[in-house]
Amino acid sequence: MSEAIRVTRVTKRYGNIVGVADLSFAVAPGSLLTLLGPSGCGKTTALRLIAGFERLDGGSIVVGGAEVSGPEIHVPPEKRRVGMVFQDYALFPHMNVVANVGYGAQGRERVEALLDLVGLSGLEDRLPHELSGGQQQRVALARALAPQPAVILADEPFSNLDASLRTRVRREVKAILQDSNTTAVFVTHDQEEALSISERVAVMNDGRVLQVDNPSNLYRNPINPWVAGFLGEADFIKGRAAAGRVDTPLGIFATDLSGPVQVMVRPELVTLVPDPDGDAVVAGSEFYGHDQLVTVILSGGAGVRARLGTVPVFAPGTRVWVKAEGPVIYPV
Amino acid sequence: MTAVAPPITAAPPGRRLPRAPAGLVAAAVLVIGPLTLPVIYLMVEAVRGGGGSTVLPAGRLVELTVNTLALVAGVVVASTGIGLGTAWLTTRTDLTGARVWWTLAGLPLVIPSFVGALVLLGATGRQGILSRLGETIGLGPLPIPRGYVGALFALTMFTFPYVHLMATPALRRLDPGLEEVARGLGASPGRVFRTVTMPQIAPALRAAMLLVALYTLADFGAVSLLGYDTFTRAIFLQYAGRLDRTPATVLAALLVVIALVLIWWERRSRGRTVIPGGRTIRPHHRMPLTRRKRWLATGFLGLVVVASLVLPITVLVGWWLRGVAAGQAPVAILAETWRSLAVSGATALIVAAAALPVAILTVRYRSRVGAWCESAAWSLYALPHLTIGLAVLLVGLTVVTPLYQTLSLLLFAYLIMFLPQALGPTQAGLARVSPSLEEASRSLGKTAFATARRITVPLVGRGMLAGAGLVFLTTMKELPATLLLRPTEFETLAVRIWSTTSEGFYTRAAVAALVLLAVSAIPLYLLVARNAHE
Repeated sequence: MSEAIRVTRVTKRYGNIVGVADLSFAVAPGSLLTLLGPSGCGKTTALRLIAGFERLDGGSIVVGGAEVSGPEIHVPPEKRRVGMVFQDYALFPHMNVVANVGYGAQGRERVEALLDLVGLSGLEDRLPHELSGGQQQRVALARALAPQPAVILADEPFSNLDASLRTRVRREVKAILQDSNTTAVFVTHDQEEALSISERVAVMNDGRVLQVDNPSNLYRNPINPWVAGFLGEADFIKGRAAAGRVDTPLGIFATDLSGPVQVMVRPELVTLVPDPDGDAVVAGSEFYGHDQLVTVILSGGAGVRARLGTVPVFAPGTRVWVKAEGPVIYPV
Repeated sequence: MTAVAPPITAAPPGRRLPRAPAGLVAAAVLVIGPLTLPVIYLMVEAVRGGGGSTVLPAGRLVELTVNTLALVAGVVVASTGIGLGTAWLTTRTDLTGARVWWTLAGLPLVIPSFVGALVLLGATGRQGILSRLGETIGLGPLPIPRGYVGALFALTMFTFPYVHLMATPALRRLDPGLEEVARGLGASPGRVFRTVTMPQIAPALRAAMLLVALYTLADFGAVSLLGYDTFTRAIFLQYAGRLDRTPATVLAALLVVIALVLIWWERRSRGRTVIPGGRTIRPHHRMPLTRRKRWLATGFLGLVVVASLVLPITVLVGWWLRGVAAGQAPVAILAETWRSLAVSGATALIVAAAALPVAILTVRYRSRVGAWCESAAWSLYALPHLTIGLAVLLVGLTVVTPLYQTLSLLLFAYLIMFLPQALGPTQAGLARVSPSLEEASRSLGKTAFATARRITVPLVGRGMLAGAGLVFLTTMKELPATLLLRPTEFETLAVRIWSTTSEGFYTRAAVAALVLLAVSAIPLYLLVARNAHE
């Protein structure tokens, strides 16, 4: 079977401001794709275009094999078979749980099966304000699943939850989506959330998709320094590449590039070996409890950070050897 | 040696409102467009009539202008002093029974100024109830306060609650920290009030003063009954006494101009002050009153409540009992009551329904037409009812003659006068309903219409009901436009009070006034009581 959603070269402008530009990505059936980007990057606009709340200016959107948005086509939201989970959940405040979930579904059994699926049996008569944040979230999800949509869209679905609850609810939601074999597109600005629940992540900035890949490829091979920095902690060391290699204070790395380059390393892949003869010196460290972040000054004067276990303690002035794994090299 | 943090681009400007659907724009224009026509027609007729000079002597115009503005200035000053006093005493001091006093000071709103005038007439003079009281304690009969003093008293007593009610939220919203900082910097309480408190409540106070000014400018009943010569009284006399409608038209047009100048003045004085809102502010520390000040404060509030609430009700009940004693049937005004209720109810329904498309257009969509509709409705709302009544009457006499002397013309005038009363609460209700609720309904397979029926209207219902209640209340009290436009023999409670008072039959007027107060007190009490809890 082909993709559940295909977005092709979609453009949306608001006057002179570009909402999304030349946006393309596809989602495989039953999988979860997350649009990840800073606020204002157009990810929510992309979601609203798929849901049919906005009209596009160019390109096309295909859901379940049928074109729903195009230059001449705009299928109204109610005919798209697209379920939406809103950031504020948008539960109807004047309806109880059953009425909310049953709003778009036929039959009491379906509602009961869904409440069972999301673990809310027994709360049928509650009104939205009588539910906790996590419960409201699950009602919103059950309601969106009720009409058996071809795809579920969710805008920052976890941002209104307490940090302590978020990880657990994320895992539950992921399990529910998998159990019901639902295709989903989520939107978030939280890279940890995107990387931990998605089959694929599309990184967006300024209305464009910069890179789409599975979480581990994405994190290990960011397409440019901006994506690398957005996905996690990253330090950059300057160097000059020639003859298939680049010499840096961190070591010699192979590369196809030549000329000035920068080498990206992730602090958690940097290791320090204390040695009085080491060519780097510890400048300071921040203690986080579960780990520590040690800053060292390399021989050329550049700095790099290492995220390490809490022993041994690296006192400022300690001389160390620095070793980095998995560097990514970008042209400058 | 740089660690790269993700560049955070500026937060997006709030979600842009979508372009409005053509059907909705058309509906709003169909509602608002016709409402503006009578007043435009009136202005055109006034200009064609040759301006003021040819139809009225200049001296007369100056006299009317001076009289009117003197009354407006007097009522604004007196109402602001009293209303600010009652609001401050009941919200910022530890006065005993502050909440009860607060509610009592808001209640005189239900008393229309012409009923206030009726009470003054009925209480004084040789037959008056207050005069009898005066005689028993050895004073002579109280003179009837005709002219400026009477009008000033009647209008102040029933307009100060606007200041009271509008100053209260402003006083409550003040950040107590600011006053504490000023005190900490060595300012005396008086200086704190002048330099910190006043500037912050000034916008609310200015809005209330504008409201009082427009109310006084538009008042017709009180000034006519008490014989004070203002524009509205002159317009009515000119209209009633002559076949030539031009003088009345010209005077009405001048009144429109004065109202617009007042509005423009208030707009201009708003300046650039922005009072930040939306933060949760810790409750105010209430100022403790000394024993002497507590007595003074209670005395002041007591005097205000007696003059504006107790006296009118006592006088009306007294006249009513006198009528019953004289063998007058107590339910003589059943038909008028029924007509008032029916016409007010119909108006409330029509106005609420008409406000809905305009509210949806202005709150949910980005539309220049919507903004235009909204400001047109509010501008019309600010105009004196007599003017609107006259404008609609002109249209009825010359353009849509078949409608002349029909109820539909009266309902049309009510729609012009009261639309914003329903528009405001409906807009506020709509703004509280997140658009994502409507989008959720759409994405769950419901059409735009089904969404409006099952989600929007049930959730906005309370706001619409509040607006309709307000329209109902004001329609009950409306006098000048009703006098001009009612079909002959169509007597409402307000009309009945007017006609019997001007003929000196206070006992009959009193029954009608009491019924009017009783009916209109219910929605107002609900509004005031709900505010008191917030």
